[in-house]
Amino acid sequence: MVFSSLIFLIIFLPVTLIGYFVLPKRCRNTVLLIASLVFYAWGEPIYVFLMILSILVNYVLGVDIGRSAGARRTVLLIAAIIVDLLTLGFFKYYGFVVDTINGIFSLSLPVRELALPIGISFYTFQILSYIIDVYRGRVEVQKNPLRFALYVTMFPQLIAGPIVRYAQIEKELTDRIVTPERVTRGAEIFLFGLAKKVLLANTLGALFTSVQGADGRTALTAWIGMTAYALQIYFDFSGYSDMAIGLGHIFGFTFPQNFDHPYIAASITDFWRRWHMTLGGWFREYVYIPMGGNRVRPWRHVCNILVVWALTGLWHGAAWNFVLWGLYYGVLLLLEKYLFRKVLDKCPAAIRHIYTLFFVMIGWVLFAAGGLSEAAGMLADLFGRHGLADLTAAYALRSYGLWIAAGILCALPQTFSWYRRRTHDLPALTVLIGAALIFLCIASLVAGSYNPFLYFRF
Amino acid sequence: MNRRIYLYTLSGIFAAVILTLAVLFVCLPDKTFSSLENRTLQTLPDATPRQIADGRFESHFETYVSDQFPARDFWTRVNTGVCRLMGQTKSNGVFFGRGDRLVEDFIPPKEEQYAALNGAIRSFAAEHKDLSLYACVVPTAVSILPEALPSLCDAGDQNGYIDRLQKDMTAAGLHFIDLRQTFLMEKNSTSLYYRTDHHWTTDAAYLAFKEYAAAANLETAAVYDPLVVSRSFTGALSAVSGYTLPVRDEIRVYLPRDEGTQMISYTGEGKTDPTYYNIEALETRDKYALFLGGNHPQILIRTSSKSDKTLVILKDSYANCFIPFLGEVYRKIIVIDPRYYADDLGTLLRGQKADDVLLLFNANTLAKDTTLADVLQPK
Repeated sequence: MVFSSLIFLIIFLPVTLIGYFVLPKRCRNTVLLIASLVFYAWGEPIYVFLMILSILVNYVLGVDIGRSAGARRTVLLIAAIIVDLLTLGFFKYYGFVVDTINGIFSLSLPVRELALPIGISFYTFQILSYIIDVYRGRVEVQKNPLRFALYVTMFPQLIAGPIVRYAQIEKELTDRIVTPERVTRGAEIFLFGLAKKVLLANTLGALFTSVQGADGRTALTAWIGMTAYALQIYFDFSGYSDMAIGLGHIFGFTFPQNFDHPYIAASITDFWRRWHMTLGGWFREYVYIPMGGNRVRPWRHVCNILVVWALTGLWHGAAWNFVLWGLYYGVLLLLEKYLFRKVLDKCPAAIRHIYTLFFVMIGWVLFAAGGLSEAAGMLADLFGRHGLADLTAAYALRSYGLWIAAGILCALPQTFSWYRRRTHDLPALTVLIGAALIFLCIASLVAGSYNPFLYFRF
Repeated sequence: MNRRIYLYTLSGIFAAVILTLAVLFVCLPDKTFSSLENRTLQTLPDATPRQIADGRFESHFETYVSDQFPARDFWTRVNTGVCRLMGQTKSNGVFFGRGDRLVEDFIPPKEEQYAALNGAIRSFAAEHKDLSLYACVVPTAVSILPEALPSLCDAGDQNGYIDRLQKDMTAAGLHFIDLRQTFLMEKNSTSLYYRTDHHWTTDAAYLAFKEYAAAANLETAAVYDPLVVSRSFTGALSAVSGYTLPVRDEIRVYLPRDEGTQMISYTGEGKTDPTYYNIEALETRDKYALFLGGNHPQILIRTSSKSDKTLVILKDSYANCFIPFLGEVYRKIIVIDPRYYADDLGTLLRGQKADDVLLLFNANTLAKDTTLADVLQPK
């Protein structure tokens, strides 16, 4: 089930909210756990048992690590990491690894097509953050299996993040404050997230799909298509994160921010401080810093960065274009750090923004493509292989120009701070805008069978 | 303070809308058919353990919620309205044209697909040199009425496709009937295409028939009286795109003054009918099914024509309103729709002692079709 579906909005959400707020307070964790399992099982009626098994194994290992000392503690930690990564690796990377080995050695080992369990990349990382932090003594062991299960399965962030580290909601699992202010604020964030996903991401996604499938794209068409993709993936993912954060507030949980207006970044380094912040934070905390971070010799640091970014790419999808996409960012970040940071600092702001957006867009070409040759084709088109502009581009602008403009406007922080000020001085206007968004989202959801959620591949 | 008013009011509206929709969804009786979309709607699916485990129940249930959503058609219209306001003029391959007209875009075929059809036509023509072979690829509104297309529109090049077919089919030995000149001349005085449907009108079919008769040297003397049989036709383009127009289409039939007789047998369906028209269709949404009751794998028509010739026509639904005109000039007509036809065409042509073969398709269907090549290819 996804949040941006009619079944979630008019059946799952009302039933869950009524259960949560009408039943006695002590039942709240149970209600939320049951709701989360139903939510997950709705999309994965079989793999829900894999997730439950994963929870049981890690619960026991966590308790054991907490009780043990010395070498046993480390052995248990390594065992837990291996079990979790093997599970993830088996379901997500098995086909990729076999394909690659076949390619290198010209073999034809059989590949078993396994469906990827929804959200496995997200919940595995959450479980690992708990296990590692227990080992490091940063958090208390969770002895209550229900609370631990709730941490892993909590439906708002289960299938598409943000990646919540155990330490971030440890206290709220036991005791949390639900106030009317918080619930209504949560509803507002959820609504904006829904509008980002349904109105902007889905519509711009349709534009990108049509450009992606077209032959003989002129440069203008290709750039319109990639702009649409850049906006689509941002509103798709950040909209989904917003919905998760909003639902979190409604139930009394504080989830970390996942996006901070990434397209206003003034460098690639800055972009990655603003894009999918919880994933970047996770890799920094559990991979980069344990490897020594930047407190090592430069050549080691270069290695560390490249390893982290190859893994980041691989996390996004089991294919070589994702690895390449990750390494592309690793290299850009290293170049910025060691070579042209000083040059960049002296450039006018406009140049820095254009530079950043240009390289981010090229990155999306790698990311969006079904494979390396498709990416190469799109790159050639962006640089005018089929001419500069034609009627197709004009028609795309005529049909989607206003949507693209709306997307750009909503990617700027100024738009939201303007709106927020108006909630103080012109509440009637903002209520009207908000109410219009509710109606438009429902209309669009009813009208569209077009509702794919991009981050399901991960 | 204001911010609190804002947050509480907005959340109140949000909750009220969702709860109202939830209550309406549960209370309103389920519908089984959507006339706007022309399809049956999902009703409450069975929940067997097997269906739940393999995900079928879940996906059917989600369709059930969206299909039975309260005021579904209203929401869809709101959305189409918003998209049009934002400047979109195309929905599911249908342009919202100027002057209250919906126009289906043309999608050129893939090169392999074109080559397969071309090859099949060549070998078919080579094998049947004894027959007179005719081809008529009907242009659709997208190439005949370009002025009705929205501005800056990037519609597919149907003219180029017809040009290419004309060249290749003529080279293969077929008589190609090009209707474009006639249609462009007549388009201001005649309504050639429905405004809400992808078909041509009976008026256009009659023009085409005259062209065909001239090309095939058929003597025609019949005089027809056009009769309007429906003024409330809303066609398939409206259903496909979700666009609603403030106009309805008119369906006309051409009745010959000197009525001949005919017997129409739907082969394999055990059904015969003395008329070309299925009047009941006018009571349904799919009013174009008035002509021959829609599409059938094979139809055998025997007429009281003075001629003693036999025609085999391979066709799509454009031919359905064209075929009645053929009754005057052929004693026997065998109608084959390659999309549903599985037998051997060569055997049929020999068995029925065919004189003429006509391929009648509109350019859009032919560009999408892969079945004609299969049927024509000698087995």
